[in-house]
Amino acid sequence: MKIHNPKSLEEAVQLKKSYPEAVYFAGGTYVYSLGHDFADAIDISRVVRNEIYHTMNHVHIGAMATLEKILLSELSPLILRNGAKLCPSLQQRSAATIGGNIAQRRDDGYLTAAVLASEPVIVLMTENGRLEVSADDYMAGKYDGLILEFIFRKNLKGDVKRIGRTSHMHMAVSGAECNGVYAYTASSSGFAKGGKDSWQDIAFESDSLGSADYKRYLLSVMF
Amino acid sequence: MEIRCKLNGRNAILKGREDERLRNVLYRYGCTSVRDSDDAEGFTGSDTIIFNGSLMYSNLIPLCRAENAEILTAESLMNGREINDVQEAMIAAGVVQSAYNSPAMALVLTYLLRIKPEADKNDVRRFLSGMFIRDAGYENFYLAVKLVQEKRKYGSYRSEIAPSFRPELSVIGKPSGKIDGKALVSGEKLFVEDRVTPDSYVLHVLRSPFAHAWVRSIDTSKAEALDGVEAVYTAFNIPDVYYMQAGQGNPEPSPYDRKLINRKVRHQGDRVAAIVACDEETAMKAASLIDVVYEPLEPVLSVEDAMAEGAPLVHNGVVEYVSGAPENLDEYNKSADRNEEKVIYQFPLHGDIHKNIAAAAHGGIGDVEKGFAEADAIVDETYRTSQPQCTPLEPHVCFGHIENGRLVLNASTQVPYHVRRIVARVCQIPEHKVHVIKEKVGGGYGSKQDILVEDLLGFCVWKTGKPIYYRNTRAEEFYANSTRHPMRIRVKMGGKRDGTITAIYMDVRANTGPYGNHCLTVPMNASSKTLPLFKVDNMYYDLITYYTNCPPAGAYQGYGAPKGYFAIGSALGELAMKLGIDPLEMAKKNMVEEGYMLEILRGLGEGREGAVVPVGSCGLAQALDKGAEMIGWGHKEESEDPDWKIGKGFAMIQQGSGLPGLDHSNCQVKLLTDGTFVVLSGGADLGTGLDTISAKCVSEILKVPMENVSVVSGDTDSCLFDTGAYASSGTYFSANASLNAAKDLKKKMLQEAALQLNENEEDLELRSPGLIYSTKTKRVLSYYELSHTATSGSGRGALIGTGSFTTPNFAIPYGAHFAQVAVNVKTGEIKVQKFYALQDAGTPINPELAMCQMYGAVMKSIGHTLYEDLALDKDGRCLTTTFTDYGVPMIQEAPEDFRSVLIDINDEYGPFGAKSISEIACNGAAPAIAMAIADATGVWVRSWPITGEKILRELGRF
Repeated sequence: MKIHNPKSLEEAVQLKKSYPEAVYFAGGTYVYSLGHDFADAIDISRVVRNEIYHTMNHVHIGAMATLEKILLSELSPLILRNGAKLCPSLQQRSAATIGGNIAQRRDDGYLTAAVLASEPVIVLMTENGRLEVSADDYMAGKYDGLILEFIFRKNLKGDVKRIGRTSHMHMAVSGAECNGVYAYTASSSGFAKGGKDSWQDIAFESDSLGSADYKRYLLSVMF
Repeated sequence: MEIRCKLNGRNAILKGREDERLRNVLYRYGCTSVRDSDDAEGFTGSDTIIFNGSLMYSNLIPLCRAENAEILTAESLMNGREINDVQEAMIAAGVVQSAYNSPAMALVLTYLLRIKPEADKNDVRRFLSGMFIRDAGYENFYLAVKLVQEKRKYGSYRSEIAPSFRPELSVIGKPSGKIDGKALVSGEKLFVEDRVTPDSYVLHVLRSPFAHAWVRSIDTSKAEALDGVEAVYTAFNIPDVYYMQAGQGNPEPSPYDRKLINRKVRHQGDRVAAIVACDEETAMKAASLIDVVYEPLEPVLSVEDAMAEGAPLVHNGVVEYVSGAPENLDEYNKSADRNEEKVIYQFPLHGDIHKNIAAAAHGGIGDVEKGFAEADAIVDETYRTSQPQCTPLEPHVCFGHIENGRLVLNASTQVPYHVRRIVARVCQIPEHKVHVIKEKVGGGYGSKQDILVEDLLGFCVWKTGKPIYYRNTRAEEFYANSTRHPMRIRVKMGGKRDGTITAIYMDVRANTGPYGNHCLTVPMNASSKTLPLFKVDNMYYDLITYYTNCPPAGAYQGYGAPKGYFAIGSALGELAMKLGIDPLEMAKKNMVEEGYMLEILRGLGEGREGAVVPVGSCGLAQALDKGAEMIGWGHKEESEDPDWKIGKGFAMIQQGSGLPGLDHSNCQVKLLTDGTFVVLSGGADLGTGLDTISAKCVSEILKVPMENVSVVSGDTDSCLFDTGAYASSGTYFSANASLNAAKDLKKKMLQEAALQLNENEEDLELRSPGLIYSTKTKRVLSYYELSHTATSGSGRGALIGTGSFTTPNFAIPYGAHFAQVAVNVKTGEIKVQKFYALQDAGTPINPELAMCQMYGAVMKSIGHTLYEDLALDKDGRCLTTTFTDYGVPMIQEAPEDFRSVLIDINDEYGPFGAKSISEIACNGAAPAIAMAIADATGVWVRSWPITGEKILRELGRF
């Protein structure tokens, strides 16, 4: 794998344009893990920030903030800390980043439900400069770009749950509730966000983690 | 590229490709503590380092990220050759066993205690959250941390590490730490991968994508023409030698039903070609250039498929017998497909390959129908077990080279002498041309009882003359390695209102996969290790093992017993529920006790009539009583949350200690010229402490400190024959051989001393710390003086004790496991709140190791009960080829309250009264947890794994 080392955000997105099949390389838990074989990677660790800080009404979390950093920081919204806790391995949390986790748009992502329910603004770097989009739109694939940071409202209250056979297996389902907004994920099936019954919008599929009926039932009783 | 960093406190320059995994670079640099157990999945933690102040998986870091980094590996814990206090405490606590990732564990705990000296259990759990332990369980890591804290505060350990036994003995029954613990925990070069020479070639195996297919043709010309390719072997150019891969005593109760590479592939992942090349990249490129024409066949993927009328036949070659051929064999073979590989039986296993039957057996006592007729209630249920995988942290590996005209294999094996025999066979050379060196084994659990890689590797080395290294990928470990035999077990059990069991019938249908490794003996265990627990006059079993195209089954700790116990323990619980009586009282009413004649054994020999013997030492009653008291049996626990229901269950269990009448062990003990000792044990220490037991035997008998004893084991050149480490034979057989050798040497030492001192042998005795003392004249002769004189120019010769051990006698360990489980009846979540494992190991020679083996074995069986699942698609392809997908239990899954208890019972036949400990501990979790779930929810789940979905379905939730 050829690893490109951009010195600026602009250079990073230009590299992506030059190598469309390249992946952004953040914490490495995806790019470097088993079964992934990319010809090109763009190392963003030196150009994307990892700080967590507050402004008057918001919490800003840099995309390179690791799950462990989020978990340990009292500046992080509690719902996000609970989401980070779903990653069961300390070593994984020390490497995996919030940006990397969300960029994969996985229906079994540790932070997927928590981020959807807490409705942050996601700041992207694109060829045309910075762009702020909703988490909904990003997760729906309406926008692409290099994730720079997440901007959460302050004083978020909520809960995150997951059900999986073991702590380390992919979760069959997860759910999050934040200030009355619900988000759900189901493996191999996708995710949904909205009211308490929004899980009904998911097209459930069976897989080795459970049948479609099982997952549907779990989300129906989750909250 | 070259990068500069600080490594273990010193400036270092690391070299490699910019994208090369840091783990590989560090290992190459000399940090051999940084292992790889998961091919960069980021799961097991064997590759853990401290990187810029954080614990991270080094497999997930490219070299280029290490520029100016501060890196600490386990090598940083050492002070010269001295280990640190954390490593010492780990040894003391008994958690350094197969030790493949013990150095990484030590690094993690050292780091924890550095940043939080008062770390508590939650902190330990957090820091070990990314570390997979398969052998010793997690429980004693909490103890290890506590010991460190105590030593730092008080100057010594204060907590009891393990109970001590046999106060009249010096080292036997006392926690002392393993003699190789320091070497293991410090990350010394002790494993096969550490022996690989720089000029080594690699072996890569091209494997079948089909579960069942003919290889019609294979064109290897392009592969062979590739620069760097030394040789390519296929079914068309390997020897016409039949054998089997099960490491069992010869003649083996497993059919010889394969060659090195077969023309018909019988499971996804079956060998198609073996490529020997200068490096992995070239070998994989060569594999991609091999043109294979397959003719796919319909696969058989279950016992039901195999049994069905007109089912495809997994084997349909000519059948031969070495002995005991049936009279109609010629007729039978008329329909054989002579293009298929033969199936050769050493003696009848009652197989019928035309019905996909690999082996069959039956037997029993009394009249079960009469017994059922007398019953007030009958349970007749079928239980299914799945195909759990051993998942050793060190995958299957082997390194071989030619030296002085001989084939030398560095192997991670439980059975070095079986390896020698089988490799000699496939290479068509005499055994003296093969030298097997058993290296430290980073996890075996039965899967390294089978000769799964050494056969092909040995052949390739012999033919090419090149040094060659082979290592299974983790995916290959899942689909091309030994698993448990999936079984379908019908149990019919009848009982009276007073709790007397009147009859037990077991119908065992087992799935051996594509080859017949252990096809009779594993399924036999389902009955032979369960029925002898019962004092029931009418018991019968039928057993049929089927060939299928599933991944290959073989030996796994516990063998067939865990499946049998799941079935029979559940049936007992269900019967008790039906009769409205306490299952524990029912068990006590029907269990055997010391002196009871085990008539059932007559019908439970493995391919021959079994010997009837009385029950020997038996701690079963004590285990049941104590366990019941500990868990508060009979007291119903209630949760504050109405969705959570709590239940309790138990299992009474036994196992064996080796195979009386079959196993054979040998040992020699040498008195060296300075008065110290070397033990040459044929036994194979898998990390379980067998070498330490041998050292303790010598220390105890010859009255020397353990520091005066070294042990060499499992080297087929220097050590005498031993059948190997399986069937829980280590303590009973190999250690008894060590004990006999020590006693033989003692006799010889006293004889020689009598001559040297000109005294009567009867007046001489051995005394600590290594003296011969005359009770008559008070004269003293040191061992140094004794040996020095004996080996002088006028001496009578070196003093060597030789011992062997065979026996017709059984030393059966017994036990009881208790579980308290909470089930959320809304979501199906299951938590094992309490698990108590109580076992009699006779005199536990290494009590701290024994307890950790119990923890490790119980965790494995909690795994197969609740979590682990090797899933196949409809075409027989394995879907779960990573740890994450497969579902091994981690520290988060360990019971909140988890205890091992050793019941103090002395055995007549075991060395110093010892019996086996680790296999039996695999037998209790499944029935105990199933019973606890039923107690909690009213629902019996009769298949592995017991999942939340299954419980919810039984509850009618959806």
